[in-house]
Amino acid sequence: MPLLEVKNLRKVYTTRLGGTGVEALKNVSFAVEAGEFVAIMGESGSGKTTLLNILAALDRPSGGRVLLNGEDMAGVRERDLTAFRRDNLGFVFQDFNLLDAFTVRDNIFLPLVLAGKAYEEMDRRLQPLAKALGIGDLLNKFPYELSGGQKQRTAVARALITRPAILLADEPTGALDSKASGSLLQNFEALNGQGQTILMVTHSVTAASHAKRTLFLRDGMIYHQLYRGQRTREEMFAEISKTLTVMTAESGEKSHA
Amino acid sequence: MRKFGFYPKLAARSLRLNGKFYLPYLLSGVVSAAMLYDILFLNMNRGVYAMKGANAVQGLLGFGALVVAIFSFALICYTNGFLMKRRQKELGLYNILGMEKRHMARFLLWETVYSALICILGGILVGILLSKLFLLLLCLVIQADVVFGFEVPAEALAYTAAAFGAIFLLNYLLNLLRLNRVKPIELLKGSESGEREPKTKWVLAVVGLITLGAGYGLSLTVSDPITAMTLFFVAVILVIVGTYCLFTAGSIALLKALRKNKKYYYQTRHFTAISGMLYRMKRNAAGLATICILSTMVLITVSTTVCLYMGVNDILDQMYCRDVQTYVNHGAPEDLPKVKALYERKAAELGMEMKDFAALCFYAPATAYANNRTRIDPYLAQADGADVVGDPNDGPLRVYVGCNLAPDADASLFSAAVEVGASQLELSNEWCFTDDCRTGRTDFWASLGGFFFIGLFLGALFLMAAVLIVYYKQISEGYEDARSFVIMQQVGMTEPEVKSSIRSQISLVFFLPLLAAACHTAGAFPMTRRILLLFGLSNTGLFVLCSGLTLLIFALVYYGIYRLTAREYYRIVRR
Ligand SMILES: Nc1ncnc2c1ncn2[C@@H]1O[C@H](COP(=O)(O)OP(=O)(O)OP(=O)(O)O)[C@@H](O)[C@H]1O
Ligand SMILES: [Mg+2]
Repeated sequence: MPLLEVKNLRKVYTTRLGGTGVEALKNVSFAVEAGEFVAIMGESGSGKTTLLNILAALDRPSGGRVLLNGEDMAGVRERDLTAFRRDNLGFVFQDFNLLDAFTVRDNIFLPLVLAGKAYEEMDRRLQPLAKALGIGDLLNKFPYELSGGQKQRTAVARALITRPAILLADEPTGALDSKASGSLLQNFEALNGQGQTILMVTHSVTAASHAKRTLFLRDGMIYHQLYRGQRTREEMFAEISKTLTVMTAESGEKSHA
Repeated sequence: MRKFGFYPKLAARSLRLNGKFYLPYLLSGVVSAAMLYDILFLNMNRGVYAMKGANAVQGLLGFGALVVAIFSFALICYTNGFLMKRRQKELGLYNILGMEKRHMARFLLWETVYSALICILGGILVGILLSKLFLLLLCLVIQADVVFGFEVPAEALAYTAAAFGAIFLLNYLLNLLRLNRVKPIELLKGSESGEREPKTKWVLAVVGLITLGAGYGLSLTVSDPITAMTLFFVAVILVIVGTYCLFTAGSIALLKALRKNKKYYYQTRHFTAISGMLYRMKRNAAGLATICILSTMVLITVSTTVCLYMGVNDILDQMYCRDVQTYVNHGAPEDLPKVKALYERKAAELGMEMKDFAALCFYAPATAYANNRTRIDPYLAQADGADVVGDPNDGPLRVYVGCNLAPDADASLFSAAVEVGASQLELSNEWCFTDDCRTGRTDFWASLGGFFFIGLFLGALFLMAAVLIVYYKQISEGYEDARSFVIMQQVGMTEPEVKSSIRSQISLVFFLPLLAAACHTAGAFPMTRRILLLFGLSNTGLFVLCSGLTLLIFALVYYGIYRLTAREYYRIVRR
């Protein structure tokens, strides 16, 4: 059984005036096995954020199903959703979303505090995580004292401290320079090496080339997918670029036609 | 000339756009201008001049006007500073889009002109509409005949306009200073920029403890009413300083200590509240302390003046037991019979009937008859043949000789005659003066009524200020917190948790100052009670009742504001 299964997912945004809605996702199906590292790419407006929001249970689909560990997320009651999300999913956002009022340590602890965990337990989980992400020395600092890369690694630690089944990231390198991006992606690869399942939306070909598999989304549908297999990152980079070029060319033709 | 009208328009637009922030500001400006106008109106009203006991009332009203003016200035400065901070982003944007600082100065000038016009004109209009009502109220509380007619004293208009013109001008200058100090990039970041975590200031905390302790100590130890009166303001200043220091340093120390306690801190309820408070404490502390001081001022002013007013009959009965009285306190006991003889002679001369002749009256604190026995007993011995009114157990000695007259007899004539006669008597001391108590009663009613009126008037003003500060604090924090709550929900805070966390944070902010204010009022109690004794009010039960009731009503009003503000805050956060 795959860890995450998406079946015929549809999402229609109805406009407020009740006019014709935007069909952000038309018919998306794919599965993610435990231990995978999947990148999702696509043009702006192709529905990536929409997809991720639905997977994150931040939004409900208009049709189709999302199964996590075989459990249908539509079956989770509204008031249990937050707890469900907290216990099963971790998120990383493009703009970090750290809280200024908390130290790095407390930012990371936040989901566990909300889950009512004891301090000793939280601290036990934090130590190896902080070390792996290279933020062990920053724990007492406040977000405004950190660089972008350090902030994002803090956000990753916060996402992972609940030991989620799956880590969801929406353009995690979007606000970082290439050096900070590089080290974050290395962190991702290392975490994935230890068995963490990761699903990442990205615009960056470099970022996608770190993943084991890349899904391409176009006009609300899965257009193509590439497995990295035994390929090196450079080869993967070239492959992804090629696919993107073809995809953009096709949608260019379509809109001209 | 193309540009003429650009800045006025831009300023008007900006006022409209920032309505949510400007409305309470302008509203409070209008209300305080109206209050200033009205109190000046009463002060200058010819009808009030003509009233009995007008002197005392006029003096009180003049003092009240001064307080209103100074207070309006502080209030408008505070809110203006707050607004400017919020608008730094907008100004920064204008700056980056090419508006130079001198243009901004012009833009701000127009804004100030508009605000000033709204406050002055609106305030005067509201003031004129309410003036008659205030006049009636004043007549009612000082028990004077109702003054008819409607007037708009030009002087009151001029003073109000001048005072508020000056206030706004000063504010404008302050804004220019602010503008000059900041760089565009900072303007752009404005209020959103991260704030450094406050350091624990031990010295300040200790200073706060000492001053507050000294203030409370004064109140608790001073036993003599006159000293209480003179030291009251010292105590007030000590407590104000102590409150500011403790709110600033003490709260940070306390919060940090709470944060150190890991078991306590890492609980959903406390986690967000403590860190949120700590994050803002530098700004918060001054605001909270101000709210606390204002609340204390409302409580003490209103409770003492209400109590005086409610107890006025008690006071009068003790002070003026008879229609005419001669004060004999520092005279020798042997003088009493001489004065009595004088009374009888004058009554015969004037053909008046003397009734209820008495050697009278003991009042003020319960330092017990026993303490004063050796002083009191000789007087009692000499009071032979007269009533002894008042309870010797009820305090230090104050002795009168006095009598009642027929209702139609002229008490002032009689008292003048006694006064003249007494100066010719051979008495042991130049102690003697005689009161026409019927006039005395009216005057006393008037001045206590004046106190009562001013107490309520200023109480209302302080309350408005406290409300305004609380409102602005919550609103601005709401905008800052909105993002945090979105994030917290993303990482797993449930809706009920959001609600309860908001509730615990807001209620702390609200009820901490209220609690401290109640403490201060209780701490001031011994001292204010002694000061009331100076007015002749010894009914402690009444004072406790008045203080309790005032506190209760204040707490209810405060709770109402809390509910309103909390709702607004919640709306902003959940937007
Ligand atoms: N709340 C919404 N209401 C209506 N339409 C929406 C809403 N959110 C997104 N859309 C529409 O759905 C489509 C997909 O949006 P989505 O945000 O998923 O794109 P994206 O792939 O994340 O783009 P980008 O790479 O620019 O972030 C777009 O056409 C967008 O206009
Ligand atoms: Mg997106």
